[in-house]
Amino acid sequence: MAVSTELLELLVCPLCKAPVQLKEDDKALKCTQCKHVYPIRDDIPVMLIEEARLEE
Amino acid sequence: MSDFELTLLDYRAERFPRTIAHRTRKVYDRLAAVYPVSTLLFHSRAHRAALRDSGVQDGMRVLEAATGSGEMFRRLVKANRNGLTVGFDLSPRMAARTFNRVRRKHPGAKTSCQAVDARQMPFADASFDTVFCCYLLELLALDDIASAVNEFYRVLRPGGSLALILIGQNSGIFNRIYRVLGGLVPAFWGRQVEERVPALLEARGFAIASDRTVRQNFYPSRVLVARR
Repeated sequence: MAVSTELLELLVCPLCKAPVQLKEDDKALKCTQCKHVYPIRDDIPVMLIEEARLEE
Repeated sequence: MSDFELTLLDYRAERFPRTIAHRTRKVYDRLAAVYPVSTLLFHSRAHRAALRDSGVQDGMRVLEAATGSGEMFRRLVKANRNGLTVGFDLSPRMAARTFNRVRRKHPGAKTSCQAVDARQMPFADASFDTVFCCYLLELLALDDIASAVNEFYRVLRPGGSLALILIGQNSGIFNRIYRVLGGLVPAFWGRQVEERVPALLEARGFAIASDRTVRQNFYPSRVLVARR
């Protein structure tokens, strides 16, 4: 698994620093505050703002 | 105005470029396959020195910023088998290569690689016991170095260690070669910033714990450990 529970506790949104949640399909991380979604590609969380998309 | 901001103002007056990050990612995405050769020839001795000086112990939470092709990252995972070792690189391709290799070599280790910009790290405050960063700051322009140093400070726990390796500048010929290459392709070769970095760290609130220069095939590396 690309994102373990221990790692998820440390991860925040690089933009607003709020916690992120793993999406149901385990293919992205979503910020709980600003709603930016960061993709997970080849088990690599891509936590780059320019690669994120906004999702309500 | 804080000491940190005053120190930055001094450096700005010397007209360092403010940012070159967009070029750096492109260059390293292309170099992912060949970069390990230069690491083997020039960096491995400094990597070992940084590992010793940092005081890393098994079971810690360790972060490496800018893992590149992962030579240092594999050392860290090996030394921290029972801890959590997280690495990142601006280049998603570099991060993927490093993660695949480390997973093959140390299948049981708790580890993760990510694509992250050192200026905007996706980690909560005080997440890590130790942060490593080898040969990155040379590639960043002034505002980006300041952002990265701020982020190192934020993600380290109080009392935690920052282990930095910088390209040294203690030989005249090496400096001249480096300056010429840096002028040709600055996004790859970067600039020698090591003389400025200790003052910047101290202005941010770090205390320098150790500082030494290690040479390998005429290539000087400065190994700095600072405590938060």
